[in-house]
Formats: sequence, C-alpha cells, structure tokens
Amino acid sequence: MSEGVDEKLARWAQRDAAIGLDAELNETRVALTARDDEIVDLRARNERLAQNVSQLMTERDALARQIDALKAQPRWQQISRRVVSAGVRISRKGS
Amino acid sequence: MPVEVSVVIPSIGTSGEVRGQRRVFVVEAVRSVLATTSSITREIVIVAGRDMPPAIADELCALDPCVRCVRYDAEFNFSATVNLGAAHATGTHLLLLNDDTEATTDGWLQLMLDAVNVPGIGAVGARLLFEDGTLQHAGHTYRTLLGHVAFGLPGDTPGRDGLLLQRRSVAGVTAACMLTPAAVYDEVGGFTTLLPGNYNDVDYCMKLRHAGYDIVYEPAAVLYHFESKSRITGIKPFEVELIQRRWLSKSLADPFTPAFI
Repeated sequence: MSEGVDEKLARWAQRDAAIGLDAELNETRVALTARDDEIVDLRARNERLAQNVSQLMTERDALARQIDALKAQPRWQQISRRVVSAGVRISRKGS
Repeated sequence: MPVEVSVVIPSIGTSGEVRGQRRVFVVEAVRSVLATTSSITREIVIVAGRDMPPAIADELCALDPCVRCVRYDAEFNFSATVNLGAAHATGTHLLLLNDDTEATTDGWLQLMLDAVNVPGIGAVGARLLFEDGTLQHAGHTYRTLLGHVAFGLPGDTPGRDGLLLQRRSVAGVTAACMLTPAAVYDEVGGFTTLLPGNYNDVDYCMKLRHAGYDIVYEPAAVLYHFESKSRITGIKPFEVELIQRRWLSKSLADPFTPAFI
C-alpha cells in the first residue's frame, strides 16, 4: 500500500524532530565542552595569580620589615652620618 | 515516462510590477519554466494558499497539462507549503521555486540536474538576480550573520580567482530556487515547520550537511528573483534561537565562505 500525503507529512515531521533533537544534543555537548575548557583555563590562570599574590606578599613583608628596621635606628647614628657627610663636602671645597 | 523534476511553487497569486509591466508573479514564473525546460520530463505543483484567487489557479492549470494545484488552507507556513507540494510530487527530484522568479534561458534546469546528480550532493542552488541585474543569491554564508554571498554586487561579479563564476560547494543555498533529490528530501524529513518564515532553507541545508551531503552553487544556472532588494525579512527572535540551538557551532564553522567576503 502506498503512503498517503498525510502519512508522509507526519513521518517527515517525526524525522525532522529527531534530527533537530540530535542536532541540539550535539550543540549542547559542544557548549558543555567549551565551558569545561574555559573552567580549566580559568583554574590555571587562578593558580598562577595565587602564586603571584604569594610572591608579592613575601616581598611586601620584607619591605615592611626593612621600613621598621630603618625607623628603629638610634637618632645619634643618623646625626653623625649627616655630620660626616658635611665634613666631606667642606674638605672637597678646601682642596 | 517517469517525472524527473517536480517543480514546487507555493503562491497566493501576488501581483507586482516587473520591467514596467504589471504581472501575476506565479503565472509568469510557470510560463518561464515551461518555456525553458521542455527537454526535461517535469511536473509543476502549485501550492495555492487560501488567498489565491480561483481564477489564477484556473489560469495556471490551463497553461499546461503538467501543471496542477494543491490547496493549502492553513495559516501561512512556508515550510508546510513546500512539504505539502513535495508530498504530492512524483518526480525523482524536487525543484523548490519562489513564485516571483523568472527563467529566461534554456538549459538552467539541466545544469542544476547535472550538478545534483553527482554522488553525495544533497542540493543545488542557482544564481539569482534582482530585476536590475545585481546578485540576490550566489550561495549562503553562515560564518557570521546568516546571509547571501556577494549580495547586491553586479550579477557577473567574478570574485577572487573567478570563484563566484565556478560551480562550488557552499554552506547552503536559498529555497527560492533549490534542486534536491526527492529521496534526500524524504531522508531528512523535508523542511522544518518549526520555522514558518525565515531560516527554513538554512536549517534544511544544515540537515543535509549533518547527514553527510554537500551543497553546491551552480552559477551557470541563472534566474531572476523579483524580491525587493530592500525587503525587510522580519526575522523573529525565536527563529534565531532555534537555528542557533540546532546549528550554532556548525554554522560558525562554515568552511565555504570565500576569504574575500
């Protein structure tokens, strides 16, 4: 028995729906893979940034300690250093 | 003798002016097909929308015994009308044709048949010109926006290395003039009725490529397409959403858009 027009149209609609579903599944898988790749990339960048922060924190602490050390020097040491520097300048002019 | 080509033309009998003359588009389209394809065994299936005046349907059927009308009484849905015509068709090939087209030279349909009869080809499109001779269609491009290659350029634009004048694989072709084997149409379930207005031909071409078929543009087959150059397509968000949901990554990967576009 040959297929009627309505049967043919119904079969085409079913076939189209099946192909459409398969296509959407593929596209969703592609999108999922893209998200996975992006997450891996962002995690790697995040790790690098964390390492950078850690390095800068270490350097920052060292600088802070240096400032504290400089501030803790006795006052007379600072004055004598200035006197010595002034003496050097005068002796250069005299010669 | 078996029918080689079934020409499927959806129409509501619209009239318009071409070269200063008023015409009923579908009548002149059918006349032009009859006049330029006599060497091929063909039938013409007019899918007459509910707004088509009965007098026009009668006039069409009187043009030639190979012309017949099928009534389509539902709401407008281009895909459904094409499917209805295809379901009534008896040919081994389907030529989907807009009613506002005109063939002016012999041989165009044979050229399209030659191109589609190569194994692995799922559809063939023709070079379509506006009334002023500029390009309406030279294949689809899907790389960025979904559109026509070289749209609006002079009709004989060769493109780089004469690419536009060669038979070549393309991402897709317009349903305004598309030849496809009936068995292939059947295999992929015809046009999706989920896209009643826009992108149904894009979806069909993507379905073909998904099924492993190539799509070819045949520039030596030339027809006029009297669609307005400034036509507002009225693309709706749901049409964009559906086509992207089905084919976004594949359309962006369009390998056929020439580099000069």
